[in-house]
Amino acid sequence: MKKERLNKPNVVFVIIGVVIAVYCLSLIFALSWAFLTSFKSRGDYVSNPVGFPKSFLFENYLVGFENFYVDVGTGLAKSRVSLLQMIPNTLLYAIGCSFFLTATNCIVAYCCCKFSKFKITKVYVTLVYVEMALPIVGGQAAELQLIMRLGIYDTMFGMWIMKMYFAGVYFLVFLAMFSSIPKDFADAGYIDGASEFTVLFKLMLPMVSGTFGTVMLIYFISYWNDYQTPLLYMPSLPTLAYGLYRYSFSFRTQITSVPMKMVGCMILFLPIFVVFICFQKVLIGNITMGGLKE
Amino acid sequence: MKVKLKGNSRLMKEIIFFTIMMIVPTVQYLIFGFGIKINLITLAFQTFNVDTNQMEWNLLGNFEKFFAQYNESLELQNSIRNSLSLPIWTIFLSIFIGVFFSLYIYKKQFGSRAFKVLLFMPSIVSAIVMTRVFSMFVDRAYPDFLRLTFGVEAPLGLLANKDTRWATLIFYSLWSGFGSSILLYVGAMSSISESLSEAAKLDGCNMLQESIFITIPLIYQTILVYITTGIAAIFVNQLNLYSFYQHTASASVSTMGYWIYIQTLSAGGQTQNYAYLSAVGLLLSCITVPTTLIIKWFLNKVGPKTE
Amino acid sequence: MKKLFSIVLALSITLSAVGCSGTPIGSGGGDGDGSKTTIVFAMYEGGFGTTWVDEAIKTVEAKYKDEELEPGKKGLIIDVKPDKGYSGSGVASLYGAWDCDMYYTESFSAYNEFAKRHAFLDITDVVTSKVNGEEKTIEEKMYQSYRDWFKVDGAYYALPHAYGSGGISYNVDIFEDNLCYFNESGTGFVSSLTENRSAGPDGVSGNYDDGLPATYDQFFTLCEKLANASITPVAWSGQMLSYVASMMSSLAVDYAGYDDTVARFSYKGEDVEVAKVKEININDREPIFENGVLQTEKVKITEENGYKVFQQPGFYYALTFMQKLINNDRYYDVNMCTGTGFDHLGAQEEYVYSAADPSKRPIAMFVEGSYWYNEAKGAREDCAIDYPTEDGSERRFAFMPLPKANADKLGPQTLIDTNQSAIFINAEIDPVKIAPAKDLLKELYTNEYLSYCARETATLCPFEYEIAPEDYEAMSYFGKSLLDMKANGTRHVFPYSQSKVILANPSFGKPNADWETSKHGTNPVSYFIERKGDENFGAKEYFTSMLVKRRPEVWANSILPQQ
Repeated sequence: MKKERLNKPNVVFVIIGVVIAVYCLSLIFALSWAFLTSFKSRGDYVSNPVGFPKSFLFENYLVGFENFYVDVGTGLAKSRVSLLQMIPNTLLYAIGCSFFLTATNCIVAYCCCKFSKFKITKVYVTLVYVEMALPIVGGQAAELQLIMRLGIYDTMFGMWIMKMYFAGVYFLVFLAMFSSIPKDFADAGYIDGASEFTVLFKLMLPMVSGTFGTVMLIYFISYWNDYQTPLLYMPSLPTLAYGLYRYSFSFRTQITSVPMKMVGCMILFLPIFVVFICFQKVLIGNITMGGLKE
Repeated sequence: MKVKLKGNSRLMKEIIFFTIMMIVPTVQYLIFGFGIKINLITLAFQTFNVDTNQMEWNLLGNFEKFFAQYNESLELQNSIRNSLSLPIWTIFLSIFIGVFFSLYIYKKQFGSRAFKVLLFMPSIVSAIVMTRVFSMFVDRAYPDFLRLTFGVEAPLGLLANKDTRWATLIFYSLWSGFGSSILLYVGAMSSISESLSEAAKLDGCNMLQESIFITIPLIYQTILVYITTGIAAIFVNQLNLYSFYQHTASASVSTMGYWIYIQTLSAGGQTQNYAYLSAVGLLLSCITVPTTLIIKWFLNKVGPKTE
Repeated sequence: MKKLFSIVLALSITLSAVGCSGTPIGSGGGDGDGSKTTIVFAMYEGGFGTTWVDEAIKTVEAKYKDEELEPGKKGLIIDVKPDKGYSGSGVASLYGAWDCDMYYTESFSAYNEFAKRHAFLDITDVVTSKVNGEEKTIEEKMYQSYRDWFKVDGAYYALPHAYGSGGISYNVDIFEDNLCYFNESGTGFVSSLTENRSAGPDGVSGNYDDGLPATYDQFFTLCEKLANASITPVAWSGQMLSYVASMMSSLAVDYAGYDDTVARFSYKGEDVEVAKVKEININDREPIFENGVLQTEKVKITEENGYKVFQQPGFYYALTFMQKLINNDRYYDVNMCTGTGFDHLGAQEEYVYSAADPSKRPIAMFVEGSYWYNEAKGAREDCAIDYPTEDGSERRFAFMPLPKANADKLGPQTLIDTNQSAIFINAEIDPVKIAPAKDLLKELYTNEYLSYCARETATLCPFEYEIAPEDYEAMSYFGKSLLDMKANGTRHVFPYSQSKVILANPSFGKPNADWETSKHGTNPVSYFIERKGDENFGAKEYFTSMLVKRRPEVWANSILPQQ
C-alpha cells in the first residue's frame, strides 16, 4: 500500500517531465533542421529555408568531404591534411588536453582541500576566482611568443602542457567534492599505514572518479569543438573543429551556401553524436558510480 | 591519536607531498598565467603618448577615462545594468531549472535516460550550428510560422523585436547551456547514500519532500559552485550577443562581456586600447572577486549543513 | 585510478610525437634536394579573395628561378597563406610572434604606431620607384589622402590595395524591366528604355548615371514605384547593420564633398561647413533649425575645435534618409532587414536569387560594401545554374552613385574607404628575401597589374591608372559600374591622417565611430528600427545626441591628446 503511494509520480515531477519533453523536442527539431538543410541545394534552401528538401542531395556530403581539408606548412613542406587525417589529431588533442586539465584541477583541488591549514592554499583558491572574474584582453601575442621560446609551439605535447592549468570552474567542483568527503576516510587510511600518495590514489581519487569522468567528458567536448587554440598554437596539426572553421569561412564557391555550411557542421557533429549514443551508458552512466556507496 | 602523536614527521611528510603535487601546476601557472597577465595588468596603469609613440606610466589615466565614458555612454551603463541583472536568469533560474531537471533524471522518471542524453546534446553541437539554427528559427521562420498557423501578422522575429529580445537571449542562454550542469548535479545526487533516501521513504516522505529535504541539501556544495562561478563571471558573460548581432547589438541588451569583446575586436592591436581594456577588466574584477567571496561565505553560512 | 593515470600518461608521452600533418602537396618539385627559398605571404581572406596575387607571384618566381638566394637553394616560392585571422587587428594582436614574411591585411588601424616601432620593413625605395617603365612613381600614382597616412616620418612602410565603401547596389535587369529610370525632366519615369533620361546624381547628362535617382526625394519616389509593382525596393542583412551604417557614412561624406571630408579626418581645413549649434551648458548642446532647416556655418577646423567635424550637416541628412526609409516598411524587407536570420552571405544569396526564383519577391536594391559582388560569387554561380537566363548571359548588378540630399548638391561622388587594405613586409624578414619581396610589391603596383586586379576582383585601387581595354571588356557589369563611377570623378578619401587626434583615437577612422551618440547607441539603423513611428525620436534627436557626445568639454579633456 505504502510502496504504491511512493511510486506514484508526483504532480511536480509530471510538470517537470512535460517541460523537459518540450525542451528536448525543440532540440531535436533544431538539429533535424540542420540535418535536413544539409541535403538541400542552395536554391532549394533560399526558396524554402525551413521545409523538407525538394530532393535529398547526398552528393553535398561528397563535396563537403572533398573540401574539408587544411593546407599546412609552406613551400615544399606544404601538405594537405584531409578530414580523416584530422581525426587522430582531434582525438589526441581532445583526450590529452581534457585529461591533463581535469587531473590538474582535481589534484590541486585535493591539495587545497586536504591541506587547508597551509595558508598558501587560500592564495590558490582566490586566484581561481580572480581568473574567472578578470577578462583578459590582448594576451595572445605574449602567450604565443612564450610558447615559441619554450620550443613547444606547434606540438601536441606543448598543448597538453599549456592546459595543465588549475584555475578553472571545475577546480571548484572538485574542491566542493573533496570537502564533502568526511575526514575519517583518509584518517582510516593513515592508521592502516598508508602514505599520502596511497591515500590520494587508492582512496580519494576513486571516490571522485565519477566526477572526474564527467568533468573530463565536458572538457573533452569543449576541446572537440575548440578551433581557436589549434589555429593559433598548433597550425600544422589541424583538428576537425579547426578544419570546420577553415571550411566555414572558405570562399571556395562550392561551399559558400548555408546547406554546405551545415554539411560541415554535421561532419563535426555526427561522429561525436554516434559515439555519444553508443557509449552514453558508459559516459553518462559512469557518473552514477561516483561517490560514496555503502 | 596515533596520527596526532607523530605530529612533526607527519607535517614534514605532508609538506613534501604538497610540494610534489603542487610544483608542476604552480610553475605552469606562474609561466602561463601570472607571467603573461602581470604584463597586461601593469598596462592598466599606463597611457599612450602620441609624440613619443610609447606607453607611459599614468596611474589613474585609464580609470578616469572609464568613469568619464561611463557617465557619457548609455550603452556602457546598460551593459553594467544588464550584467548585474544577468545572475537572476543565468544563475538562479538556470540552477533552479537545472536542479529540477536533474531530480527528474535522478529519480529515474519516465524517459529520464533519453532526456539525459538529449539534454547534453547542445554541448556537443558546435556553437556555430546552434546559434545559426536558433536565429534562423526565431527571426526567419517564426513570423511565417505565426502567419501560417494562427493567421497572426508578426513582421518581426523574436530577436529583432525589442520587446522580446532580452527574453529570447536569456532563453537561448538557458536552452543551450544546461548540459554540463545537469551532468554534475546528477553526478552529485548519485553519490548520496541510498540509505538516506530509504530512511526518508520510511518516514513517509514523498518524492518531492525527499528531494527538497534530503537531495538538494546534500548537493548544496555543487550548487554553490555554480552560483559562485556564475557571479565571478558576470562581467565576462556575453550572452551570445556577438553570435547573433555581430557588432551591432542594441544598447538595450548589451552586457559588459559583450562590450569588452567588441572593444577588443576593434582594438586593432593598439597598445593604448589594450591598456584601457586591461584597466576596465581590473576595475570590474575588483568588484566581482570580493563580491563572489562574500556571497560564497554567506551562502556557506546560511546554507544547509550536510552533517 | 593510479593505473588509469599511469596508462594515460604513458600513452600520452608515446603519442605526443604522433599527430597528423598531412600528405605532401609542396609545389615546385625541383631537382636534387629540390629546396627553394620560400617567402610566406599571409593574406586576409575576405570579399576580394586571394587569387588576384597569383599572376604577380608567378612573374616574380620566374625571375628568381635560377637564382641561389640561400646557399644550396635554387629558385623561389612565394607561398600564400589565406586566413580570416589576418585582419588588421588579428595581425596586430599577434605582433611579436609574426611568422610570415609579407602580409595583406584590411583595417590595420595601428599602422602608424607599428611603423614608428619599425615593425614593418621600410619600402620607401619601392614606393618612390617607377615600375615597369611607367612615367610616374608608385607614390605619385597614389591618391593624396592615402599618401598622408602611409608616409610616416618621411618613409613608407606599407602600400594600400583595393578600396571599398558602403553603398547601394541595384539589379539592372529589374530597373530595365520596370522602367525605373527618371525621365529627362526628373518628374516621372521613362516610358521606354530609349527615352532620354534625367542627368542623375552627378548632374551631367549623357553618362553612366543617367536616370538614376538624383536626390533623396527621387530615391523614395523610386521606392514607391517599386513597392507598387510588388518589388521589394531595398534590402540588407539584419545581422550586419554596420553595413547600413557604413552606407549612411557614405551619404554623409558625399554631402560634405572631398575637401570637407579631408578636413574632417586631418583636422585641418578652411571654410568647412558645419551645423550651427546652441551651447546650452557644458553638458548639453543642440543644433539650430530655422523653419525646419538645419542652419550651417563655415568654420576653420583645427585639432582644438575638432569636435566640429561631427557637426557636418551630412550626418543629419543621412539620418533623415534612413529615418524615412525605415518608417515605411513597404520600402524594405522587414524580416530580412531587422532580424538576425540573415547574415551578410545569406542576405547576398537572397538578393541574388530574389530576381531569378519565381517563388520569391524580387529585391531591386541592396545595401552592402562595394565588394559584395565578389563575395557572392558562389551564390551567383549557383543561381545561374538553378535559374539560367534565356540567353545564358550574366544577371546584371551595378553599384549605384548615391542620391544627394537636395538638388543643390548634384555633382561627383565622394566616398570613404572602409576597406583600408595594406600590404607590408615583416621587418624581421630574412635579408636574402628582401629583394624578391620588394619585387613582388613592384609587380603588384604596375598599371598593368592593377588593371588586371580590377578585372579579377571587380574592385579598384587608390592609384591613378587606366584600365586596359581588354580588361574592361572582360569585367563584370558590376566592375564596370565601379569603373564608370571612378571615370566620372568619384573620389575616395582614406579616413586616417597623421593628426594627433586620429593617432590618439584611431577608431575615428572606422565608420561605426561616425554614429556614436550620448544616449542612442552607435547604430542609427537599429535606433530607427526600434523607434519606428515615434515622432519624438527622429533624425534630429539622434543628431543632437551625436553632438552632445562630441561636446567641447569632452573633446578638450578626453579626446585631444594632452600636451
